[in-house]
Amino acid sequence: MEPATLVFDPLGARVSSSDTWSLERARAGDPRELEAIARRELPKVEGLLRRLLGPRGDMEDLVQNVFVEMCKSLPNFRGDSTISTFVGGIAVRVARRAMRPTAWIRFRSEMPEEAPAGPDRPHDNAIATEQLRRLDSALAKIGADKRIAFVLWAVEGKDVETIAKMVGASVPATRSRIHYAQKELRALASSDPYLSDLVEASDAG
Amino acid sequence: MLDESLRRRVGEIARQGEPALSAAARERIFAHVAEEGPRLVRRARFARTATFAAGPLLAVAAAAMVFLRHPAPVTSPTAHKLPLVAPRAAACATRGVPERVGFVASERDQKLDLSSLAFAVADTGTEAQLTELAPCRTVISLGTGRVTVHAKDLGGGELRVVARDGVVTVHGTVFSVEQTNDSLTVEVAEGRVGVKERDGDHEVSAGHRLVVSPVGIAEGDIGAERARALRRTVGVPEVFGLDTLPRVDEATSARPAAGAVPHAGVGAGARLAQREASPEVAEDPAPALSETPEVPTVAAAAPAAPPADLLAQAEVARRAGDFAGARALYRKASDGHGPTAEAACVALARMELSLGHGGAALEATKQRRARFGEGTLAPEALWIDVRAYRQQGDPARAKALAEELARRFPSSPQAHAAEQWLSGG
Repeated sequence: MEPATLVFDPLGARVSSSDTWSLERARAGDPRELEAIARRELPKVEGLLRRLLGPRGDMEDLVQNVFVEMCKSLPNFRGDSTISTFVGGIAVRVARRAMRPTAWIRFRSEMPEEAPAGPDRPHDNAIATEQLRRLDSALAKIGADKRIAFVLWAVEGKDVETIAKMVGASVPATRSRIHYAQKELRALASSDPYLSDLVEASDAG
Repeated sequence: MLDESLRRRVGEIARQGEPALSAAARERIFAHVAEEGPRLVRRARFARTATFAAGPLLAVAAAAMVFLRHPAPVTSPTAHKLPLVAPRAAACATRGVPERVGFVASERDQKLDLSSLAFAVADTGTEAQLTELAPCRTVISLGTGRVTVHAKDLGGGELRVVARDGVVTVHGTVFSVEQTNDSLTVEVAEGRVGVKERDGDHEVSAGHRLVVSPVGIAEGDIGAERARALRRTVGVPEVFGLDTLPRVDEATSARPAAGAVPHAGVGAGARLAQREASPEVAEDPAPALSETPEVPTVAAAAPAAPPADLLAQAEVARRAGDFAGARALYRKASDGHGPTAEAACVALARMELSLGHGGAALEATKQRRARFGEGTLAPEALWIDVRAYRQQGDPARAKALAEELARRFPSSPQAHAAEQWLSGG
């Protein structure tokens, strides 16, 4: 672990923390720094893509692509947000492209063996697994923009302003997307016994 | 407005999910970033610097171009006889254009009659309009739907169909352009057209089709029936003897009966070019060329179905319990080329497995491997093999293959299932 380093801001205004130094080295193409960022951000990226896209066979490629895009975009990153937000925004763009409903993806999604079921699949009857699967399925029915905003808000715990910055939309539009996504999710959950507690929690709240 | 309790509950459920990537997959990503990252960063920095530096240079170059194209008046008495750029003479420049024309809707379609210049028919529901009509330039804008065009005599000018995913430019031919939500399809019956899309320029010659979709570019033959249908749509007489198209009687006799050996030409030549610019979708193969709906004016016998249609028919037959019919259709579809044919092999294997025919399932995956090698569905096929051996009472072989699946395709859902099975069993 590298100790915090104090460096002078190029504008001479203030001192900044080791994050700035780390970012500068990454921008210079330091392989160790790039790898360190990847190690730090990968769990978040992986989780975000998993929630936005559901289980997919090409997840490794998608995650790798986020970091490839990050490397390409680093020289243009001005540092006006955290590196997590910057990488999160790239992950959202990669996920959005991967959501394109091509004929081939639709065809493959109908293949039942993609998620092997039956006796070969242990823990199949675990309620938690089933809840998660159904939540994925419900989220997949919500439009891409609304789904992205909602997942960033509900699962990633981002605030609306940060989400707006990540998806390139205004704050009111982002808030509206989250609102309508939760409305659609509640409607979908109300008819699903595994997700009914979402509606109950909502009513109680 | 925003429901915090729903947020909390959804977050709880979502965070129960296990990591999608194995430790090995993560390490591969870290290694890739450390290895390729510096090069990518340097290249991006260079591009950024070059862009800033190139701005003024481009401005100077543009000014020079303008000066060369429109040189300042010179005082030499003979200078006006020696222009730097010779004007292009085209027959179209001297002729008039029809006035007040546009697509005229009827019950069946919308027609655009440009007299001796061109004739176009748009399917019902197609959003198309004539946006430019000049002596040497005709532009049809296509929102969505299909427009079939006969460019009769452009006199050296050009006719363009501008769609969302590309621009088709033509100098006299019969072709069709279809823009859907997913793709742009260009089919050419006569002549040759140029297609300019996001990643480059393409030429489509007579008898061929080009599909531009988010996952890549696919090219293939359209077949004689489709070419005839396009000609009939715009009222162009039948043409025989084109090298790229079989004769009518040949095409008819080659059409297979149900259950017979498929026509070898169906889908032949289809190939796939992945976009380098979209690596995140590179693992998703492009769809095989899908047959577009027939133009309503064509009453001829239906053309032989391409593999994608056969696969869809096989799925319908399987769901209806007609396993013999489904088997025949899967085999026909798997005789084609490309990812759809590979998918047909796997689908056949899956059906055989579900029927308890482990040996037949293994035979189908063996054929897939022989024809497509690794292909794009290797994890699916391996998982079927695992289950087939298990079904046949050979757990040792099943275990070995499950381990191979987990080792070779660690991030696939099948590998995840295999690992679970191995750890539990």
